[in-house]
Amino acid sequence: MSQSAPSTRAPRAGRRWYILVFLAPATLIYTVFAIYPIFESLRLSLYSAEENQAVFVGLANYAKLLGEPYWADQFWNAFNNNVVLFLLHMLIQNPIALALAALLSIPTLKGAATYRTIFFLPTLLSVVVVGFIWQLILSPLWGVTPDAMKALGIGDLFRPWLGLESSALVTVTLISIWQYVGIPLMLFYAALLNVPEETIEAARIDGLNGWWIFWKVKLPLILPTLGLVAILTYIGNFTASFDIIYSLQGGMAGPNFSTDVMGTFLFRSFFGFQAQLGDEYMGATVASALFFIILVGVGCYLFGVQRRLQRYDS
Amino acid sequence: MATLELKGVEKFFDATQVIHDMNLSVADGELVVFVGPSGCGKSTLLRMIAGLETLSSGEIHIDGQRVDYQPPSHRGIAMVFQSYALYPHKDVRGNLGFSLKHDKVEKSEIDRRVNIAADILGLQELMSRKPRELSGGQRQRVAIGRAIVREPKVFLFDEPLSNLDAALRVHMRVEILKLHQRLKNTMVYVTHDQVEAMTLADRIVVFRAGKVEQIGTPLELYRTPANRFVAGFIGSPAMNFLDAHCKSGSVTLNGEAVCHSTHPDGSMTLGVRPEHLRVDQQGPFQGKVQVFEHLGGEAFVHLSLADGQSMVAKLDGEHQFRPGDACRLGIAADKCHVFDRDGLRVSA
Amino acid sequence: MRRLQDRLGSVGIHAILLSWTLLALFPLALIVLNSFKTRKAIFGDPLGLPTGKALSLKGYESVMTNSDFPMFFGNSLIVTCVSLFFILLFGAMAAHAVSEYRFKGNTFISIYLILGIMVPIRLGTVALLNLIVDLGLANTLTALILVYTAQGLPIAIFIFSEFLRSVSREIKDSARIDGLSEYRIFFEVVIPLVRPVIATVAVFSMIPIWNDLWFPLILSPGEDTRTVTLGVQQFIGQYTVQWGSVLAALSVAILPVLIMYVIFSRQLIRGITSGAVKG
Repeated sequence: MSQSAPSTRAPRAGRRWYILVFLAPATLIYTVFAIYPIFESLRLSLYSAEENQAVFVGLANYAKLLGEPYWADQFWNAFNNNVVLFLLHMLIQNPIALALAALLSIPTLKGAATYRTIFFLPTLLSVVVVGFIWQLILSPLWGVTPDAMKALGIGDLFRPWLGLESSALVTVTLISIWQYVGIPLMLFYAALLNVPEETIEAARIDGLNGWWIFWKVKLPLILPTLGLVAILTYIGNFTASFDIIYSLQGGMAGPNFSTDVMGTFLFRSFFGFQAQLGDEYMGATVASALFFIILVGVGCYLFGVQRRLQRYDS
Repeated sequence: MATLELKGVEKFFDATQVIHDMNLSVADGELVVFVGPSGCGKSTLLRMIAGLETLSSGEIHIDGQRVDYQPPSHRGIAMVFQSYALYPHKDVRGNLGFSLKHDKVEKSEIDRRVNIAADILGLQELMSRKPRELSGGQRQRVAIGRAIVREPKVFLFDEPLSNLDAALRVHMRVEILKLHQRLKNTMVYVTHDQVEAMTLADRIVVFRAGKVEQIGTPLELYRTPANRFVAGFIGSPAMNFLDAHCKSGSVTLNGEAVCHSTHPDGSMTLGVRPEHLRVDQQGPFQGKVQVFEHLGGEAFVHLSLADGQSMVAKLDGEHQFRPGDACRLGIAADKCHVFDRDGLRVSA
Repeated sequence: MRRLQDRLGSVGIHAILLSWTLLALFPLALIVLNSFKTRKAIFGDPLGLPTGKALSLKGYESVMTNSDFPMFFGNSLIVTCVSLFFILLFGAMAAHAVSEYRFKGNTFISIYLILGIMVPIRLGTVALLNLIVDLGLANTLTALILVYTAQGLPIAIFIFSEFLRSVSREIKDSARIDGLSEYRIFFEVVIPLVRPVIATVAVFSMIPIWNDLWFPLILSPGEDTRTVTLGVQQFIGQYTVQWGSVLAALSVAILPVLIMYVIFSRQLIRGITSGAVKG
């Protein structure tokens, strides 16, 4: 398809430079600022600083991360907190999202558009803003929550939940759920709207009522979305959870590291805190460990879950 | 006004050959239809003529000029697509005039040609509508109009009626035929529908798996199909193929002589068109009625023969059968087709 | 009987949905309402409306005059808009290339370009900071724009190319027969074609950029290059005692998003649920 038409035989395929032109900007920026840094971080995790020189140390950083109590305690604490965070999101956020989506997708429901607009609103707000809103609301200083609980006759149950080691992580999780329930909600909602009307009518003729239609017909049909939501929750939990913890509890993920997650741990190992100096090689090591954790999750999703969760559409 | 010539055209997708050594010449003003099952390469060949696919080897000439290395817009062709391919953001007038505007044709000339096309196709009322506000038939008309304003040497149609419902398809088929009679342009038309091919074509090219099975006028293909594939493809309902035997020039089925053939002794295939069969108490095809479909003016009887083979006959509406009835059918010997074991036609 | 049952069911459904509506809106309303109140009213009657004696705009005054908030806003706006422009343009170009043309390595490059959906760019932070410093881009908005563009491209390319694959090829072929060059086909045919999904891609790319805390904190924490998110975070850290200012700062950070959302929500949610992002 060469644009010039020479009198002699032109090369059959021509030189299709435009393909390169279309691909180059995206590929270049993406490679330099996304792919290269990730692999460079993997490489850095094999080095260590000695007398201001990078020295190849093999897997020594990983041995340190998992072996030295100072690092290993923080690592496993953060990892365990992430697992708790993930499980709570799976058990609370996603069922709530599914239930709300199921209600919203009832064809005769009035005001569905208004509801879904409002439900998605918190998701749009900055985590920093959301974090501080809830910090203020739950603060004993302001007294909104204690007063409200007093009015309900359960005033004695009030505790500064964000400040207590035992309840801080769960409280942070609930705030995160409040904010992010909109995303799985929308994904479920879209999937439910895509269930063909005829399938539902056929089920109705087979004698199923609303509840059973949801349980026996719609739910199996949206299983692939369930898998997608699970992997998105998994990835977000291990990386994006930094924002909410950092804005609510600070880089130290207090009280006493009870809300520490991989993100905050990475931040501290890279930049240091208090007496501990920042170490880019240990930072790269933590980031790489996180990379492998996510790789395992994505691998499970691609090869296990997604393959089994057959797509019914098309 | 132009001729179209393909010389040794071949096409490979990676290692797979999808078009085999294609040679064809289309005369000036001729309407040639490419027909075949989906995936047979007919659309690929059309896209190669248009310049949308490159050739792996061979040459294409339009109006005596070699065009296979030229971009589509320099070949003097216009194409009508199955999905209409209208620009959704332009109204009918914008769609019709788009290519001329791009060619920097003068505005008065664009208006003149657009108006002619709109008149031919009855689009004047719709000129300021967007494609999404048009029905399927109207969109198809705009797509054809867009081809007309280009005043091409050759019109290319790629399954243009496949997205329309049955009634509209018949109507548009007649429209296209009228258009051809009026414009008298050279046209190449691709379809998988043999009825479209039979009604539209001056000549039909039957494709299978990237090769030409037969080229001829509709009646030639109907009367003397070159092989079983063409015989089965052309005609509706499809021809019955029956396993039969030939012995010393006589074709027999279940012991009954049917016709004569030059086929050597042995097994062969007998081809019988449903519409050539008639009820005949002396006829060679004897069996039990399995299903009887009455369409009012005509009727189809599905017969199970003594050896288990089944066949369909198209009878006039006077007949009445019930499942299980015995039935005997006959045929004029000159309406029988004989194919050898490779599926090739054996002349009588 | 049946009707009564239906009506009860419908009341129950609305009760559930309304409770969640309340839960979603109450915290926001509380902050916005109290930001217009005097300090005394904020503590004395947090649930009251900002009327009469309780009304005070002092918090806003101090936020807008004694802080760099307007500048942070400008920074966020520049970073978000410019990144978005590049994501949409380069994303659509790349998606067009992989969905339209057959060429060697097509499958490889399509997979390569959308890998970033699954592997967050944050994992490369250490090397990314080194790179930005080496390029002399530390504490610049350019650094953020480049990183956000890289971060937003995979999902944009994914959504665009899924959409473009579902669009008939014939319209582009038709433009080719009309004599358009491949570049003009992209700008005059493909861009109008992808318009319906642009809103979806824009939202998916914009929210994480506008709200991001990680990269502003690490790549450009400087006084002049702070984004709203980082600015609010640090502002609140400094002024925890001035409740009026804190609430005003939070409201200022919420309001533009709120206004944009009210204007575009219909389009936006239609985009999200239109199936462009089917799982």
